[in-house]
Amino acid sequence: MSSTRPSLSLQDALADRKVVVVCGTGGVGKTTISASLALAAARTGRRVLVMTIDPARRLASSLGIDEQLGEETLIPLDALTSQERELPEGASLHAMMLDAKSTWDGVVRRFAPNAQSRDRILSNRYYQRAAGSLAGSQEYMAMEKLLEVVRSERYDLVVLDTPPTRNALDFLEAPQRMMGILQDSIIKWIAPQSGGFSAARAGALLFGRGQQAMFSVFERFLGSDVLSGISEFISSFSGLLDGMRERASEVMKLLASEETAFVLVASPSRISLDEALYFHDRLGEGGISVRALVVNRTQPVEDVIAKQAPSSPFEAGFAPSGARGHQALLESLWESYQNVLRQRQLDDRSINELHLHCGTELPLARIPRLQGEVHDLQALSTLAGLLSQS
Amino acid sequence: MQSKSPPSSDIKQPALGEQRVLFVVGKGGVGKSVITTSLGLAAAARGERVCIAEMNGAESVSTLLGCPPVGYPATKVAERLDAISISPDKATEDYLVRALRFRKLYDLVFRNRYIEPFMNGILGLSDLCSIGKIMDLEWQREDGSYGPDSKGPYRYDRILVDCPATGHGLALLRAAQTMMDVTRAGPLYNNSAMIADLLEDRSKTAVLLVTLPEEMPVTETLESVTSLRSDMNIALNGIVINAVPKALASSKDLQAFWSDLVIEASALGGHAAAAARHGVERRQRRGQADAYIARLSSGSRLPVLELPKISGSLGIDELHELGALLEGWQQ
Repeated sequence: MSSTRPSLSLQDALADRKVVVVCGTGGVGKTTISASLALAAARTGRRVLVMTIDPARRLASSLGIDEQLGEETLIPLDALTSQERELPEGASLHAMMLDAKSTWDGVVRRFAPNAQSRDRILSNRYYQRAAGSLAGSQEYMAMEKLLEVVRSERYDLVVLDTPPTRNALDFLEAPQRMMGILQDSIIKWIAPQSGGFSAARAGALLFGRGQQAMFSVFERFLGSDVLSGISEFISSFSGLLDGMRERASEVMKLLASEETAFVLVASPSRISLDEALYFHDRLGEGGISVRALVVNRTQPVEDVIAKQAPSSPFEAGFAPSGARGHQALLESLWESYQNVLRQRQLDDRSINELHLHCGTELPLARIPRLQGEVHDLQALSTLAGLLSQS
Repeated sequence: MQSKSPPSSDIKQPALGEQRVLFVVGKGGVGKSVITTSLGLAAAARGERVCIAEMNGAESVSTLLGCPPVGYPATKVAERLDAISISPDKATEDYLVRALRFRKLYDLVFRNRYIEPFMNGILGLSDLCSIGKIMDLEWQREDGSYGPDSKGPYRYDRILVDCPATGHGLALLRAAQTMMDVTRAGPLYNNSAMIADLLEDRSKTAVLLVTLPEEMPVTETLESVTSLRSDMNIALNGIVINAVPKALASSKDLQAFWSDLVIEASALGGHAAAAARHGVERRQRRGQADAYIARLSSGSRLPVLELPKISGSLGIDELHELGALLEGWQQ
């Protein structure tokens, strides 16, 4: 029903990219759309990896896999019908779920300047906590992994499913913020090169010699081993940080380049579309252009008749019946049908507003809510078909 | 830890429960804010003085009720109904400085940007302070006095907490325990212990879970139930399953009519046929929803309430309607 025609199809907009980043707020079906886009791309003959940060195992379950997907895993398409399971020669579909903790471990192992420093980090009691919870750490790790995979050239395309967030730029800015914090902390909080980490020493470094009083406050509330533990943790990162910054800026370049396309996913509700609009603008401010929009789970009513329904079932041709049960059933069906049409019209208006705002030259795919749910490979394949026609 | 919980099915009114503090927990997008607001309106209409606490600086209550953002501290949004939007920054300042009189710790943390991320990221200080603010609301008395030892009527009969999406929501409920594990002693430890005691006091605090009749939300809800039961001794009142499609021709005697109607419709084509296809789809979704409801009920052994899908816009009338359904939920 879109009144304007995008100059590009969704497929065209994504065709030659090396990276597709799927973003949007929570609950709009990003993971499903990511996996479907990946399958659609594999069908065009490409070697594709879909990567998710979602801890809820949604990707694995929708791909019909029981395992955790901690590693890059080849997705068998045997469960599909014979026409659907065939990929062109050389094409493949892999999937993996990012686990921030194990990616952190990998970075520490690979890039620590020496074995001593590596072990010091891995055995630190706060490292465990920080690896999962330090703000920006998941996002940073997604970038590390993305760069590693793109550099390896094992794939023609990497589809990245981003974590749900209210702030569009979180994903891009969080890694920088995290490293900024580590960097500043190291300068300020650098620990002795040799010898143990005495809390008093850490306190002196942290607050300056004249500020021992402040340190004693910290110690009083938290106990001294908390401070020295954190101090040790931070200082042990000093050898890693230059490399981390370098790789992060390389990823930022990749993401802002023509090799990457951002796809914005929304659901058809007013609230979700407003959020998408905001998302689009914030990404733009961050120098990222959205290349395609996907509105997921629109009302599955045929376009031809998606207009005002007759006010009663009899106007639509149903014969009146003497049976009271029949009558009541017909009326409740009609009420429900009219609600759906009304909802569809409201949604359409909001979708068009979003499209106008973002620019009608952008491809916009409307993916109807499927019968049943998308948590198996067959449904994913149907979605992939719909996306490749968009 | 207190002794093991009584079976949850003893709860008479699973939606609000007997407890003054209710945490509404669920995945993002399942309708937590709508349900919290509906519960708040319903309780206020009955004469209770209610405060809704939104976490993480969210502002859904004001959006739903069409009033200006509530902000911090609590603001009146309807008769007998206050709301507060608890942002980590505000809560940290308020809780550390005013409630705990830890002005020095606050200055230390927030004037020193090298420490702040570690305090919040690693130790979960901002989560602790946000949950501490809930305890603070629970403590407040009508006459302005305050604290665990104050007497006199409470300022609020009911505190409803609209939690952030599951992962963070659960982290929030565990924040006190996390801080206790890290600090092991000292004033912050003691305060965390007080919060943990309030959360695990089954006469004062409970959790209401919210979900949708769909695969992932149901799976995640059952996982949350398991993890809450194993980590904490917090009362779980029940599960609200939101936006359940209404049944269509579910009774036996209507099914014959339904089959006739579908045949008639496909012969008619046009809107009649489209309406019938819509009906078929709705019946199918209803069937799926029934299966999910059964799975939730047997998997959690908690009371499950289904709320109907509201079509069209969600105004104050619909919120009252949902509130009445929630209030009328008897076990």
